[in-house]
Amino acid sequence: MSLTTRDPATAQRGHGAHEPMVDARDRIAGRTRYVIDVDVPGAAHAALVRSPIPRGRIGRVDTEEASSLPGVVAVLTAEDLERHALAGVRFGTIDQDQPILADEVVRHVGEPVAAVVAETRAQARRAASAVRVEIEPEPPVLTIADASARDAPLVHPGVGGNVLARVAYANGDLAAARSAARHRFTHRFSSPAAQQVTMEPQVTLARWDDDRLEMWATTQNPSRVAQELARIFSLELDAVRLHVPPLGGGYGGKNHAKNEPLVAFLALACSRPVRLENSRAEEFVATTKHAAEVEIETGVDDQGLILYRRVDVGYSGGAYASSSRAVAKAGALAACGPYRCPVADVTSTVYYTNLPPAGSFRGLGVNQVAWAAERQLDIVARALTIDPVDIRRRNAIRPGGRLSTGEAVPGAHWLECLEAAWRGLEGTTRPEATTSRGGDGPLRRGRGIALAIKHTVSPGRSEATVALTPDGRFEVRTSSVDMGQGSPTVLARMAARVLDVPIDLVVPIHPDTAVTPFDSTTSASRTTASMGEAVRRAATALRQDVVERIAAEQGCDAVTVSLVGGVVASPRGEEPVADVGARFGEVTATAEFVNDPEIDAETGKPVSSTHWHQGAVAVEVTVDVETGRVTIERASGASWAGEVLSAAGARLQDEGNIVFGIGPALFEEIVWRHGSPANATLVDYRIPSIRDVPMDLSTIQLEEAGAELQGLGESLIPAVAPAIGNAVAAAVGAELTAMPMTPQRLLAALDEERSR
Amino acid sequence: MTDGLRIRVNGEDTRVACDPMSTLHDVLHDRLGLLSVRAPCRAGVCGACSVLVDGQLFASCLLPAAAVEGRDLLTSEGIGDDHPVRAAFERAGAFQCGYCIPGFVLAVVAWCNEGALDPDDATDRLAGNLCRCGSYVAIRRALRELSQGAVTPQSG
Repeated sequence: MSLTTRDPATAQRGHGAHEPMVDARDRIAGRTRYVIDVDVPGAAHAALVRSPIPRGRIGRVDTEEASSLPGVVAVLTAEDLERHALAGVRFGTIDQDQPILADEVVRHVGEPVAAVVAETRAQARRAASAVRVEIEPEPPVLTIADASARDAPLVHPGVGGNVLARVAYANGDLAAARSAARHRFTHRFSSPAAQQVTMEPQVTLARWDDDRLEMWATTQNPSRVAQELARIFSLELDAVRLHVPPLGGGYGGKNHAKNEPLVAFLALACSRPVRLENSRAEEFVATTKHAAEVEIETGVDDQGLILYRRVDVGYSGGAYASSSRAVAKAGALAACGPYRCPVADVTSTVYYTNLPPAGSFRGLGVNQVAWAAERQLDIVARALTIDPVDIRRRNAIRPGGRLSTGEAVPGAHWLECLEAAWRGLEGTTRPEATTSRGGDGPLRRGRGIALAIKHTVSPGRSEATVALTPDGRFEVRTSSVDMGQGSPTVLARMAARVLDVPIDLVVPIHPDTAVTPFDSTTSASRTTASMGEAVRRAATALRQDVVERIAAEQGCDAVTVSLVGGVVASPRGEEPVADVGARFGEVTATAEFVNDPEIDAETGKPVSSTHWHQGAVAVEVTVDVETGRVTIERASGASWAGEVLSAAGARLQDEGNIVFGIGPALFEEIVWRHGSPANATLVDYRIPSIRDVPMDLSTIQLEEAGAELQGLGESLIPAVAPAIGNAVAAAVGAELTAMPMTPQRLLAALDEERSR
Repeated sequence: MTDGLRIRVNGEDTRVACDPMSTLHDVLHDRLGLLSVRAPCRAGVCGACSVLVDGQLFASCLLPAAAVEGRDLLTSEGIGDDHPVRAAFERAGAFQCGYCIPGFVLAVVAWCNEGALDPDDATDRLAGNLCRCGSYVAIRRALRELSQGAVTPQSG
């Protein structure tokens, strides 16, 4: 296998991989129009009346004063749902358990109880604060321990316990492996809720035209949200039209239906277009990362080879399911890390709690288990005096190896990622960079490394239409959402490559369900691989169709017609392909790609993922033992990238992974007070700034010509926090088990270390 | 301000009828339709609402409109695509979703207004701008290009 690097001097890539992103100029100039910029004429504005307590029974809702305030169009509660045959309706993209407006009970702080629609946003907010809601408090379930207690109150009575989703597997004989293991370790690791913090908040607009619904929404799932709206409002699917202009960030925070059913209802009830925009504070009660507690037991032999792992993962899912079922699966599959683990016993459970619904968050439940599996592996290595890089070399899944589930892993590249990430750190060494433990000053330096494994949605379906338009351009119509990850560039480049036309003739079209065909979701880093393949197929079919039309038109054999460099050549002569469009009218081709998991010969079951996101992160930190402050001095990441379609985009994804991962590792945490976020502003909830990002940050995308396309949205993020934690341990000996690694936690750990 | 707020915006003298205590962000974004001026935090920490007031960088989400009476304002809309700062961001591919980037560009323009730009100072000069996509590394590449006046193809 020949590996190339991101160095343009050595990389051998296809069509224009080094060209800029397709819309660079508009993005930088601020001309890009996001969902928040959509202006629907005549739209009224909504504001929500939200529950101030985590659990209770709704009594009287007094809307009289609010209704009389200036500009108010309507004040609506669950009672109004009945008039539109929506009483008791529940929504959700996987599990349908969320009411449009709370009826009878509230299950989390911030749950919408009533909605005000008014002429202006300010009027709507003023009136919302005048709605009086009586709620009889009931004891809430706020933690995983609360939720799993034997006599816990039920967040959803009738569901049977507070278990929202559970994925478990056992592979091999745990008892035998335990007794055979010379060294056994058991630890508990925790990580708190965090917020995705998209710079653009959730924004939703709806308008009805008779019984047709048109919406603009900040969603990562246009096709499935459209299906969900059709189901809820008893419409044919083609009576729902959902537009998704570019998003100002996603990171999972805009995954799955959120305000869309409510805003569609408000527009229906008011016979007016309605717009709803979350405030920053509301974002914190709309969706969060899953807080998690992980108990992990590992047995190894004298060489540090893993003999077994037993992992019990508990996640706090909040009051409604959202993507929790997928989180349970993601955590289970990644629980043992990308290591040979002949015996595994894994349980991954998401519990309902009376907190805002936890949902997708870059890394989807994997960051939480990687924090445990990768941190503990370093503890094991230190106990056995094995180098942390070496213990990973010995245990990493190799080509032809198997995952802890027992299934084969196609294309294992962790060893290459490990070596490349570690080398990347060495490559940046400066003279003062020697690891110094126990030096005279307060600063201690240490290095750490961690690996990442994450599955992708399997099966998922992506359809793409590629069209030659009468004005001679090629439109790439997909429901893949552009949230900054560079999908328009990747998809346009794929079409340009197949059609062999200049990229400026290719126009990526943003999701509009009236025009763009089905796609499962823009998440799980699946767009490049899945939609990229659908576009390749559609462009191939279109190319063939165009060639055949020209052959028929000219009465020649199709094999004598070529399309090269945007020029059609036939025995009759040459012409630009753009000119052909005007003659033929619109020519379109649609194709689909389904990544159907194959049956694993050994396990007899479908494989869990058709490919695996793979990466490694290495960092060097300094720890100030007087202040407890951790500074990342340098960071190096290596991802398995398959074939790269956009070099700039690929690098931005890997860099963005590391930067994004620094926040939850070092300082991001939602602080709950009685179920309410106490730090729901960007002053009190800090996200990484340029100050937190080391000057030395390098990434490498491991490529192979002709390899399968890979998304890179999450290949490094699970490894970031454990790599930092491992570096801290190397620097000062403190073994942190709770994220984020705040100065307070570090100083406490140092005190504990000293008193030992 | 009985006959409205008088400001010069992107080179044009403008009069806007508005509540003098409304924020400059709301006047620019809501009244004048300058949509690049965004307000993700409304607390002065993210920099996406940045504007230059007489060449100096301000967070428009915290500034009362009355405070800029008679001043000369620059938003992203008033910067040309061939401006060296913008060109450097483009060459370095320094953006992802792009929502925050006009604020970064304005911060760098203000920085350049004060004299030579030293990329090593970025940690202090750009600490008031947040990019959740994490484009900081690419932004540092843009600053290096800008300080060297280097014109290279798409930074690889």
